[in-house]
Amino acid sequence: MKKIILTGFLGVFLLITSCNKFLEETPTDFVAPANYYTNEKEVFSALAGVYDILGKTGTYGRYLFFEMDMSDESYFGLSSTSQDIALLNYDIGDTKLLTTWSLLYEGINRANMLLENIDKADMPDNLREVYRGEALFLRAYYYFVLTTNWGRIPLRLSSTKTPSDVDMAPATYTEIYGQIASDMETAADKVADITTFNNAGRVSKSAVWGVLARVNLKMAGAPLRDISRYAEAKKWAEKVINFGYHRLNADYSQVFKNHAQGVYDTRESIWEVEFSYISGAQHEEGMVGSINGIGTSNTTVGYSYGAQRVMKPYYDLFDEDDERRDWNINTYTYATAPSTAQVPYAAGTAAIIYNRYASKWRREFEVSPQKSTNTTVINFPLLRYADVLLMYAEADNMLPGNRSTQADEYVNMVRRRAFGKLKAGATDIEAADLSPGLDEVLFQQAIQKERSFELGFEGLRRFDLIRWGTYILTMENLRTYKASANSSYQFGFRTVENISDRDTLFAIPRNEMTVNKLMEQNNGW
Amino acid sequence: MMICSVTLVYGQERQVTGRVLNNNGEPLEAVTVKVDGSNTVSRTNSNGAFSIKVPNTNGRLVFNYLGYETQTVQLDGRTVLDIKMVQSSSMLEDVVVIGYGEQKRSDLTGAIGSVKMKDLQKAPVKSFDEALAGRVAGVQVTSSEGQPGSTIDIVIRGIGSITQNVGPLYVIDGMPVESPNDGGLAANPINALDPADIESIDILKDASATAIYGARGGNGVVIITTKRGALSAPTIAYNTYYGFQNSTRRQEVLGPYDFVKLQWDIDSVRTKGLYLQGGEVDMEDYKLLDGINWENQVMRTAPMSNHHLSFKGGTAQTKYSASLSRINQEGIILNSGFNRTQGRITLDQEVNKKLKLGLDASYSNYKNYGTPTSTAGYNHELNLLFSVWAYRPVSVTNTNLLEEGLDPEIEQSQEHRFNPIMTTQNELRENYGTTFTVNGYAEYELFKNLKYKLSGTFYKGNRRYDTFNGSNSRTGHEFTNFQLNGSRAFYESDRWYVSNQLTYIKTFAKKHYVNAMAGFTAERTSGLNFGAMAIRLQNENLGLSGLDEGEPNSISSFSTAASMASFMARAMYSYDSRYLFTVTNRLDGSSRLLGDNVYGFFPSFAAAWRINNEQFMKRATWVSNAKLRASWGRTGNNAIGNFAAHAALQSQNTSGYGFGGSVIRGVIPTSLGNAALKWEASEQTDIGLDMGFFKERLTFTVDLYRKKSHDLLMNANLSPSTGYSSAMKNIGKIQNDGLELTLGFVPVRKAFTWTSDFNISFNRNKVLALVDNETSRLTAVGWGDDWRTVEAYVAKIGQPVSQFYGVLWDGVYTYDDFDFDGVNYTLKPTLTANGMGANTIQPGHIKYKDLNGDRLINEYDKVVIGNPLPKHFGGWSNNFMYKGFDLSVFLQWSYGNDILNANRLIMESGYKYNTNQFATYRDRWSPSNPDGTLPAARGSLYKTYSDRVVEDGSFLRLKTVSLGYNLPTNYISKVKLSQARLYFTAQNLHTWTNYSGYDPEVSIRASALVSGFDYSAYPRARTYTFGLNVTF
Repeated sequence: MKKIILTGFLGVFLLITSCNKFLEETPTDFVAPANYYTNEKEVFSALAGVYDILGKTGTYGRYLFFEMDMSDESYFGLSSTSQDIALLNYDIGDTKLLTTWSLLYEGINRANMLLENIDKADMPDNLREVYRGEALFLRAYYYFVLTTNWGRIPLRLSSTKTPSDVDMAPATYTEIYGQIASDMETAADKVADITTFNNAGRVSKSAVWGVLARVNLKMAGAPLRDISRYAEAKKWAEKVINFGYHRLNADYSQVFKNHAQGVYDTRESIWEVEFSYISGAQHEEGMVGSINGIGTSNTTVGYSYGAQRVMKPYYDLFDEDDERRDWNINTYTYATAPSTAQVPYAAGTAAIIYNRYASKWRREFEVSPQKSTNTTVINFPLLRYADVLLMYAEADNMLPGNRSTQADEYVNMVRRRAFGKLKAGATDIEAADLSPGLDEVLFQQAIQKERSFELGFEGLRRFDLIRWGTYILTMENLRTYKASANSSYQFGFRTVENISDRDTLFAIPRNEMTVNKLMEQNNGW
Repeated sequence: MMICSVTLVYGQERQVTGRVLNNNGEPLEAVTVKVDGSNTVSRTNSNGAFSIKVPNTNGRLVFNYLGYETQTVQLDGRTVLDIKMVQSSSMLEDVVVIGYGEQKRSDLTGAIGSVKMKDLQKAPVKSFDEALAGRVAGVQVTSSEGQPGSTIDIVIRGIGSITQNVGPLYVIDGMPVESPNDGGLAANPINALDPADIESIDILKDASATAIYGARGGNGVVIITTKRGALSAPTIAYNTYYGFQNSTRRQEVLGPYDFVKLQWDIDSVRTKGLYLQGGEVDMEDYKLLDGINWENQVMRTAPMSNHHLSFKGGTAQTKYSASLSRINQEGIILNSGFNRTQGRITLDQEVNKKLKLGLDASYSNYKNYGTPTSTAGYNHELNLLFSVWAYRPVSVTNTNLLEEGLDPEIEQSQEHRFNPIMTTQNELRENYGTTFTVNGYAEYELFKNLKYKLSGTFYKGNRRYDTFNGSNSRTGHEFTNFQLNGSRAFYESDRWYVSNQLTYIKTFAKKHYVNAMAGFTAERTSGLNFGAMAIRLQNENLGLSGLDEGEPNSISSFSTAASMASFMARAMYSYDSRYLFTVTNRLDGSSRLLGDNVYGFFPSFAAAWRINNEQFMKRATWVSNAKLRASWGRTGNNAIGNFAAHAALQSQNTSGYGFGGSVIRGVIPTSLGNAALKWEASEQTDIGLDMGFFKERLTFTVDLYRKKSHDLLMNANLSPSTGYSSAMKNIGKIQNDGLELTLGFVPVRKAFTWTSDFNISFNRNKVLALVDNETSRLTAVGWGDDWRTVEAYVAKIGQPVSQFYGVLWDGVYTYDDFDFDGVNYTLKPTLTANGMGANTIQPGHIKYKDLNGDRLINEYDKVVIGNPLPKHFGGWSNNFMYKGFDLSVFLQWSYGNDILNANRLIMESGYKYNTNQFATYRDRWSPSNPDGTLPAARGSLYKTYSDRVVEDGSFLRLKTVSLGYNLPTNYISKVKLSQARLYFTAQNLHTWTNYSGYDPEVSIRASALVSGFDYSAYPRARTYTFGLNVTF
């Protein structure tokens, strides 16, 4: 018996000495960052994680083109919601605000981790550089979205390592835009040609060039107002145009039907946010066409909240023959399910206009094994060739010296398509062209209108108005229309009634303000 | 007949025989009979009879029985004795389980509360935690809602953490169990345990007592010891009860007439068309209709039954026990309930004088089922009781609402309600838990006074969770994306625990008593999960067996593990039973922490002075006990995820991106980790006084404590620009100060006996520090749509960890507040709107106080609007005995706590057409009722909490009343019974409260930061049972 006991003691002793080993448990349900990024497949999965941010409800799944793009084109149609970032009467604790802010920084952190670890991977160097370029570009793009919405923000260029890394002061505009432009320029050399891909989801050279044009136009406008940037904007837009691959789709509406039908026309639609179907789950779906689109509870067509309603002045601005009017703004609604019949507006209601919807993306064209109620698989365009053409024209016009003939030509290309002049059999091709020889100011005004016609509801209007410095004024001017609006839709003027000078930027979310000691709140909050 | 006679002495000895009975005249078995001054000992048999040889008939016999007062009887020549034992009111000599040992209550230096199991076991409940509230001072027990098997939170001496679990450590037959309620992993060992099998529950409260559990003792320790065999003849006992439960209170809603009137207020045009059929129906006609009472359709009188069969006995060498039980409790809401089958055996064997071995095994299988009524967070209308209350009582059309899943008058895309009867019948939510536990020990006396004990446990828990959404359910009907769908998930958990212990007990020179213990323990827990969900199933009749015919939707798979190794030592020394000292140390190592932080050291010191043993107290014979205790110690808490310290990369369902429509699963950082995490520590000081008077007929214990917890393991908010919303950090401080008082009293002790126990606890909780820069932390409760983002709670430095947060209600706007142009009412420009645009405000709309005078109602006007933590709570139990009758009455209360009754935010707002409201909403403002105090229909749309819905949650509850009758022995002995008791028990018989909801004991989605929240909580049942207890 004593022997047994002694053995027991020995056992205990051995246990004690091996304790430290015993207390090491290796996680079995996730991988440690140190053990990852070892090969091409892992790097690509991490890169998909960086892209992932684009398709969230808080980004291009919904907020960035809906709540966060309130402009003179449309209004926030959820009448029962009384407080929202879209109504500009939100608290700094607003969760939508926090969600978008957090998502973009999550994307930045994911990109930073990938950039810090990508050299560890055993993979072909050329592919490595392509992936590095995409990660670098996406990080810069997320910063671009952040700074255009929030102004001066912390510039985190390396990943967060410990929970004590919470404090960081906002960078200056020069630092922020400088970083964005230089990262994108580096990325432009690394990423692949657009012809490499059979989809518009991947970042290509064309996408980087086009976005660089947009970034430079923004830098030339408010708040930085560095007019030397017009030349850069023109340069990058020109790169896309001279690449020779891109052209406008002959049919304006087909561009957006393609988004719903899962068809890629990368000549026109250069970069898109991808929404996809996963067997029965809505994990990768967005709300393009369901939060906006023609409002209906017809689930055969596809449910839509129809929450983005049209401002009548926007409708009135269109030329009657402009095909874009009746595509961007619906002329019919749907019968009740299971019928998919279109029901035109009755004479009385047709004139109201405020009851109409931002209908660029229509679920009747959506191709999906299963149409979910709240979400869709319709892609959202981030860069279209028409935008590139208009950016070239705008930059060129703003440069000192005479405007080039291309500037007029490019705007007219966009207009001709809009009036059906690119379609087979079209006659009188130049009928809708701008009057030739417009002066600089008139030309700029024409561009500003043209951008709204062409790019309406594509998440760019507020951005454009702010960089032109006219956002607040444009919105305030809309207030006069309220009295003439149908009384049922006067609630649509809540945003323009609430707007004030602080609203060119959103408030820094409360969670950032309370924890980050060095952060500064925007004016007016 | 078996009589143990240990010593045989020859001489002029005489045989003395007799019987030992209790107050009720029932025989007592295994009473020790000892000849005073000798070693001659005998014991009574199952009839209470004994026989003992005495040297002469002038001596004395001493009768000893646990729980009874020791009796010494002068023989005075008698050789036949009938002894009546009196139940002891003194707990001084009771043995208390202290963790790796036992001690007499009189020798304790720490604060330890023992549950009177005989009282607790009178409550007809499936597990002990349901009956624990009010039993022990300093132990706050909160049941989240009334569903059988729902979470019960036990908090000892106040909330000691901010974001992490605040529950105590449970030690079940030696095996430590952390957060059994967690639900994340396999079966809940508390639900698996039949309360009738519990021998004792001891609750360690101060640091001197809990320090032996070191790193996990910070929130207190509940030690549960199950029953084992004892020295007795084989005994078979059978206990059964059968009873009924119904809800303690009903929630009145508007009847047909008031309902239609409300619809008129919301939309008169639509109502004219629908309910008044364009004038064909008169509003008054609705007064004649009864309407559908949905609550009656969904609630029922539910049966509850219990059987418990046990078998035990033992000789001096071998002791054994076995038990088998089955409980079936149906819930008072259709298709919900709990049932359990459990079996146990124990065996203790003395191999020789030095070696003892023991083994026990238990198996338990339980099922709890039923749609949870309060867990849906996506939209408040998804919670079951919303549909019960809000469903229309009438339909003017020919629709039979009872038979339609979806109300045809409701715009489906805007609505989440579903016929609640069908929901309960077609939504399957079933948990099947199985636990298997084996414990073994060997105890060997190495040398005199030095014992070595090796003990170990193996535990296996399994749980299966089934969900099925039939075609007549809210989430399975044909208009949903998933249609017919279901899932099945398996959870498995394995755990082993080994403890090595050396104990040395010796008394030197009669006055120096030493009890020293050193030990080493190691344990490891591992768990895994696997589950799958499929949608658009083909054949409803196949139920979950048809999952393979549907479209696969998701698979879950998960695994985890944690291990601990600990060294401990404790020394107790007492001098002359007057001065007692205890020193405890524990070194804990945990796999949850990394590097240098793996080990934590937890010391404690305690001293006690037994004043009544002092010479100067000898005269004060009326003082039977007087002990002053003081202790200080440090304990810890490691309530974090097993891998919280590690940075993690994961691939999630939602983390991918579809390039060209084919989704690449993205791998993303999901946790920042924190390699610097260390043990959370708390220091507790306790001063206690135990007093007893008149031979312990009156006793009281008072304890004062202060517990400061620091380096809290907190899920701290990070600035979101880091890319993470939060991470585990050691940050924050919280303090609990308290006073506990326990009183015991035996007012009458004759043929009629009355014993009474009372306890009351006061605790004051205070946050001392939060995350670096935070002065307060706001928390929202996810009970539906926009409410998920409206903060309801605030934790402020210098104040309790959870308090309600919102605006102050200021009645409703009256006509005087408006300018009237003959058509429209426009709010006077000098007045503040209620958070909505001023142009939308109309007479009768709700009004809030603008505290900062900026003429806006927003977050700057939000203040503390209530405190969910009670000022005091406690319990009072009374036992009456007269002849064969016994009556037990137990009262429990909580005072000064508020409840946020979120039901009223929805059900007193008229926010939506065709949605019924509480009957109280009759008193709303309307043009015809301008004195109404509640806001007009659709007049309170701004989503905010206000003090309007904060209610006093104080209550006094007549919790358990049990009346029993013991059949006279002379009758039952004829049928070979040694005892038969018939009884009637009522549980939750009556509650005195001002709370307007179902029940004031409510706290859904409870955590340290969120408590006292009520939305769609499952109502509590009142239970009546009739039972029979027989012993063979």
